[in-house]
Amino acid sequence: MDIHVNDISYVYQKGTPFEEEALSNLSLSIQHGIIQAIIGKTGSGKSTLIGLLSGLLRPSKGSITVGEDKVTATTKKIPFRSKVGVVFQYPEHQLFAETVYKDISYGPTNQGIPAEEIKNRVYHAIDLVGLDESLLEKSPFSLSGGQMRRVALAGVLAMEPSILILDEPTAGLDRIGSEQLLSLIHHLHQQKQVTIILVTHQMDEVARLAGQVLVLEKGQAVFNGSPVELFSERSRLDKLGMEPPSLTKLIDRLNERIHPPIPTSLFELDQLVAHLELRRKVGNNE
Amino acid sequence: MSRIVIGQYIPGDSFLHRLDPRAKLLFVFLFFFLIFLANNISTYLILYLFVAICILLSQIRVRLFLGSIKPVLFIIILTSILHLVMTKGGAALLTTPLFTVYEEGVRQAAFISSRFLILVVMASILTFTTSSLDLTDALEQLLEPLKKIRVPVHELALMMSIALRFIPTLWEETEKIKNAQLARGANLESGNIFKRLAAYIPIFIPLFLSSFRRAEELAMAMEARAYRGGIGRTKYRLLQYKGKDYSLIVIFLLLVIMIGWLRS
Amino acid sequence: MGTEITLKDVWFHYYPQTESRENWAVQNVSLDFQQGEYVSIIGSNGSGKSSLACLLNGLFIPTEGAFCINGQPITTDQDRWELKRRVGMIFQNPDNQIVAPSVVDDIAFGLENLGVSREEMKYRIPLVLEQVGLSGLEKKEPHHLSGGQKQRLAIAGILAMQPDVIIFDESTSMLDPDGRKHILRLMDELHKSGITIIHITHQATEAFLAERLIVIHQGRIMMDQSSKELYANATLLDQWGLDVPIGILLHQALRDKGWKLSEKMESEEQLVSELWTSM
Repeated sequence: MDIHVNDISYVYQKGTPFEEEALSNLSLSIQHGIIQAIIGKTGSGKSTLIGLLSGLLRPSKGSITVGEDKVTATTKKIPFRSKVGVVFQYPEHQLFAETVYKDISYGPTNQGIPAEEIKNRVYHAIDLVGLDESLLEKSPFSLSGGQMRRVALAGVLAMEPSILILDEPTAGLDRIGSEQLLSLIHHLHQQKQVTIILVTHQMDEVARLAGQVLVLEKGQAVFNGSPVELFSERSRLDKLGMEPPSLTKLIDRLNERIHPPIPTSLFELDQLVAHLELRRKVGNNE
Repeated sequence: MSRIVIGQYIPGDSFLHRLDPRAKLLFVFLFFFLIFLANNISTYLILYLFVAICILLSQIRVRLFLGSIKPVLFIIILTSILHLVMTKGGAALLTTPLFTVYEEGVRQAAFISSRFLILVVMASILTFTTSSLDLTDALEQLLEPLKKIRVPVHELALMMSIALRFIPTLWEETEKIKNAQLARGANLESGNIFKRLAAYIPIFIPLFLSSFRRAEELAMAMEARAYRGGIGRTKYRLLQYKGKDYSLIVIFLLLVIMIGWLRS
Repeated sequence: MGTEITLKDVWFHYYPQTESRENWAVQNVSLDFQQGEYVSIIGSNGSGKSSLACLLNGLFIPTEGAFCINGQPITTDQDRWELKRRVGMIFQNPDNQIVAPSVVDDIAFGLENLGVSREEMKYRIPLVLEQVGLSGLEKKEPHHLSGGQKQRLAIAGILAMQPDVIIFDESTSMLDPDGRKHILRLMDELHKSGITIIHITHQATEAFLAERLIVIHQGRIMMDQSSKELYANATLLDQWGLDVPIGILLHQALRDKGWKLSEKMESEEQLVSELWTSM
């Protein structure tokens, strides 16, 4: 299910003194099954884009096509809302039901899915996020922060979306929590072939997961391409005011001394180690 | 933020913006009584004229005032219609099988809707030109004498100021939670009243929880900044009446005299 | 003369009656903070680091053990209230520590509580606004500020109280990279001006900016070393659920492959120069 964003603009509070254009003339194509990262500073229009892609907002201008469904400024009912799952920032703050089971089943129930099927989905979802089934009868508020976040994620996965939007999924988690969540995302993408739209400030996450990355600045797309392309050109990063991933930073430091420079397209420590090994062997042979 | 909120402060530097908030608050309060003294065309015209001058002085676009009338428009129209068809007296202007409209009905309808309009616009002038913080301060100082009868004026004012501070934050939070539940397929727009209320539960519960969490954290932060109630506290904001504030007394008396003289 | 904070054999839990001692939030902690130090306290979620932070400025009272300022035990409410002026605290959520509906009024809040005169407030407020880089935003409403600006406002509110010590309790964790950088830079500047900085965090990269690092895990102090020493031992951080700096990971991986590098790496610089020589 491909996504095509065609020359859209979005204006908040049109016709009031607080009128503000959050996105202007943005175009973007997201192929089905890829991980698309979206990065940009606060106020760059990321949240608005999430709202539009998830069908919660209509563009003021232009159109968005998801699969067969097209949405413009005048579309009444947005048809693709149920195909797009959104996990907002700090999703554990949106839990509400007495039990984990009830909370996860909220989405599928709203979709009008038969009870038997809902049960299957809840069990499947809790399994996907790596939580034990014994938690299903507990109150979500008795769980740890990391567990609550995974329950919230399960609540979205139980709706079986073909497109999954994740807004800062690791915000506020410590290393173990973040790592669990990232490998979960990776796993989901591999296993379920869903399109994942990852909104994040963490360049390490972008480098590790994304196939394509969009950079927003003041409501406009200033870059769209592969992470390698983005992170290998240091001057552009500086101009965008962005930090490279931590491994790229280390390579940059090494390159202050080492010639010819190590390529900045390496995003995994193993790759860097292998590269250095190779260089050392070549060096010893000379 | 959604559409323009009634009572939102519009920053500016007009004569009205610069008046002392206490003076404005008192003036508007007394003006409300004055509205009820008007009882004929000339007195209402004076009020309208005065409101028009205030709008001009405020340097705020008229469209915004229209916006503040919108939410009460339904009530204005409803009461006007009621007066139009229920009041008897004077010549019959229009007769239908269901009701008759009399001259007196038209008069009453016009006066009642005028009263509403003037009231709402005047209140908007106050809130458009006075920041909520100034209003809180004004209220605290005007109510100061109540401290003598053990009304916790300081605490009430602090509560109000914290409330003002957090309204936009909680509003944003509500929008966020609402969006999250909408994305999970919440249906907030159809069904009868009970169904709709039930549909809002997944929004209210997280909102309550987060408000409690905020309250707890805020209390800690206040304590960390040496807050311990009103004991030995000084005050940063100081309100001072200036010449133009006293002019309000003159303007008010002028209005009283004119309306007293012209009313029938 | 400054403020020296001492915890001696401190145990703490919110509900000491109902919880067994091995689950207490803070267990048998003895620490000492001299005036002017820059210290990071690192630990994963639930390690007890936030409770520890609240013990350091009298928000929490030790269940057992002693809490002293310049050698004097802090016992009464009045002691703790006076301590608030000397030891300020910045919390995690920028939104939930701003009290007043405008920037200047919020800075004034702490001063009003201390009973500072109006003239003095008028003198101090512009200074601290300048210091945190918020000059010109005096009349702004807090919800119109970015997360980083809100956090700087909170810092200004504390600075106006002229503290000796500022504790940052995960104060960067909810900010975007720009906001984060700004706060870290400010911490450094404040440290240079002589204020003791205690930074509580779960991010190793931020923690290593300090001069001294304290690792806390399950309520207990695991390490208390200079940042150089700890960098050399950073592989240990992994077992407490903390990030190991990437340079250390590379160092270890290369040594495993038989590279001749020093056993201990004290900094990234050392790694870079040793790599360069061995190639």
